[in-house]
Amino acid sequence: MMENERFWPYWAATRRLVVVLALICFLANLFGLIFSHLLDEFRLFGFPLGVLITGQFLVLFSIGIVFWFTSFQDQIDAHFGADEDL
Amino acid sequence: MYARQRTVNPLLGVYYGIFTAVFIGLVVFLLILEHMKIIDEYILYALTGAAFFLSVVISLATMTNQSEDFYVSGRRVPAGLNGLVLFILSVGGAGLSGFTGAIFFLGMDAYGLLFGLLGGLLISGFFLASYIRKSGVYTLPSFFEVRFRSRFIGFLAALALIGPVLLFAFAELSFLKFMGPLVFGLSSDFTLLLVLVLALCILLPGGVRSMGWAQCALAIVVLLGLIIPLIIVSLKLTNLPLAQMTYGSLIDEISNFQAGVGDRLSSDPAELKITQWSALLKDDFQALSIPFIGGERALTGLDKFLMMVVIAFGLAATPSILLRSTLTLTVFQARKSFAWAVALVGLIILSIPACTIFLQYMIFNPEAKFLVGDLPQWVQQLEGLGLLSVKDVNNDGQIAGSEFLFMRDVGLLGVTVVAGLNETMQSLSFAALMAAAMASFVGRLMTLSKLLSRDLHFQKSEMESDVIGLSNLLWTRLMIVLVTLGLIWSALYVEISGFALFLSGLVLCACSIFPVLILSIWWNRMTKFGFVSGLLSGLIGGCAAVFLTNFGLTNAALGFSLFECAMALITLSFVCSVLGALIGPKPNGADMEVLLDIRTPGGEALYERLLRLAMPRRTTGSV
Repeated sequence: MMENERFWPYWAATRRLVVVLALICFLANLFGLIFSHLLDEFRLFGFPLGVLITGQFLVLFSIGIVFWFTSFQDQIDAHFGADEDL
Repeated sequence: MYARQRTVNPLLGVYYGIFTAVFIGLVVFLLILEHMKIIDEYILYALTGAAFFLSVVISLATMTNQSEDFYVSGRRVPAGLNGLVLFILSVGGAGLSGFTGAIFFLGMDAYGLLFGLLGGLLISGFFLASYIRKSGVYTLPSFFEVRFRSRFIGFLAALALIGPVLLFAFAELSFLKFMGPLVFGLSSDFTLLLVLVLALCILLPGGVRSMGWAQCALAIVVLLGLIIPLIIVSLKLTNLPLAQMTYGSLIDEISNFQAGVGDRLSSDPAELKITQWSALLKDDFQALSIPFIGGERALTGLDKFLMMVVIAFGLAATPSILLRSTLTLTVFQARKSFAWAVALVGLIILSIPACTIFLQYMIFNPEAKFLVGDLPQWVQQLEGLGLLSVKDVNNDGQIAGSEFLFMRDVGLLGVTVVAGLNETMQSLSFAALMAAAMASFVGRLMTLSKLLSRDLHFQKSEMESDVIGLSNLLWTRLMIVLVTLGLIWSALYVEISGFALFLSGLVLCACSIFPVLILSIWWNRMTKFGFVSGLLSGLIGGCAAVFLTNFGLTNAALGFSLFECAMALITLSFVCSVLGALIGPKPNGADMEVLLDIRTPGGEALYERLLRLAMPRRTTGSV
């Protein structure tokens, strides 16, 4: 287990990353869900814009975010010496 | 055992490549036979039978009597394949069919359900998976047992989890029981008997190990069965094979019909909400009465928000899904497996609206006229399958709009039939749904058997039972047989829609387990007092809400929806947990040590270390 001096900065960095990313995903999806119908008058690539944002962009955005999170969290682990050796 | 001492089988990709090639080869072979008119019946039996037969072969080939293999697949499952299983466990057959039906009937309003799925996996990946992996536990109750160093807490968590896991298992059984007669023409009893045999063949040889590899094979069948027919339908309708990208152009083309639908909406939004919402959870015929976009909507922004949050919290706390993170080699792999699951569920979320828009376009295309006595062949086919009912209500000699009454499951099953695809493609999509339901069912069954055999295991702690070793495996195998028999027997009498049971299970998980799980990992001050008060308040309230709504979504008499009630209960559970923890004694140094160990990805998994330390003590004791 990590010593206390190294653990708490590591935990603070991890917590910051997770909370920020989760908030971004939550707010983006919430916006898409509740307000996207207001954009349906406009068209992009043949789609009503609201459908395009909710049904396509937000899904792809979430996928991108979660893959970025896995690699960035791994960098944080390595930076603070919390590398894995299970 | 340390991660560096374990190795992932480098030939896994080759094995599943061979499986995929064999299955695609069979599809092509059946297409040729059908084209040559050598075979036109039994194609569905051949495809479904092949999918299940190959899964059973994989299960038998992965037989094991090693405790670590039986319960956690040797912790050597690669992230990609684990993601595949996570994807199939998240949606299941009942969910897949139900979500498609929800999008078909509610249009954009039902996106809350799909975003709930995505959100649940995101929450698991961000907040839970890596810590459950570091704990190294075999079951979710034992995570709480280790975290709070209390056997009673583990026992209580196991009792609380039995309800939701039973609901998930019954959801899939109910769906399989519904599909057997519908698609295969088998009796419900015989369908359940087949499910019993298959489940035992998949689970008994190697527990989680044989189940997991069989689920991977079934998940591949699900992906092929959903994507290939959709590509062909897209080619037919838009001349482009990317269904997920092309359906947007059709939304405008059906807008005339959609506007007509909007005009028919009830003037009372509350009444409309209750009618549409409740009908969605019943296996009954209903007319399409809400446009995909625009017009008056059945659900408000708040409804959609609650739907998304409750489903996401429920999915994140589902034990069968969460425990998959313990099967990976490392914490990094656990996070990555959830990322793959998000990607695969994302693909399904992109595909489901395409499926429903294609279906609506083909049925409600303003240029299409359906004259009574000259109805297309697909009408008879869908009526034969029990998915459609048509009635010329106004006696004008034409069938249009609200005179088409659909079953909820038409969304996924109907698209290949209405598009006039050949028997092989239709059978492929039917086989995919059966495979999804079966894969999800065995997952729930294993979780339930582990709960009953390990966590409700008299006074013995789970760790002591693992030291005993082989006799514990026999006990779990016996429990698998008993639980399967019990569930199948009970399913003969359950007449509730699979989708309703699936949503109820998610609601129970969200109310009871999710708040205490999150606080156990992310709040330093969380104690066993907080756990007990939070769990009990959420569980009792959640059970009451599910029964008051009678496995539906609303209680018309009391005037609340299940999701509104669930959100209030989640809040209550959080508040009770915090108050309980603050009122009770503070966590001591040993509690904090466990918590910090769980939060650190490096080092030996906590449960394995405790097991290693328990071994010599046990040996000494017996001497």
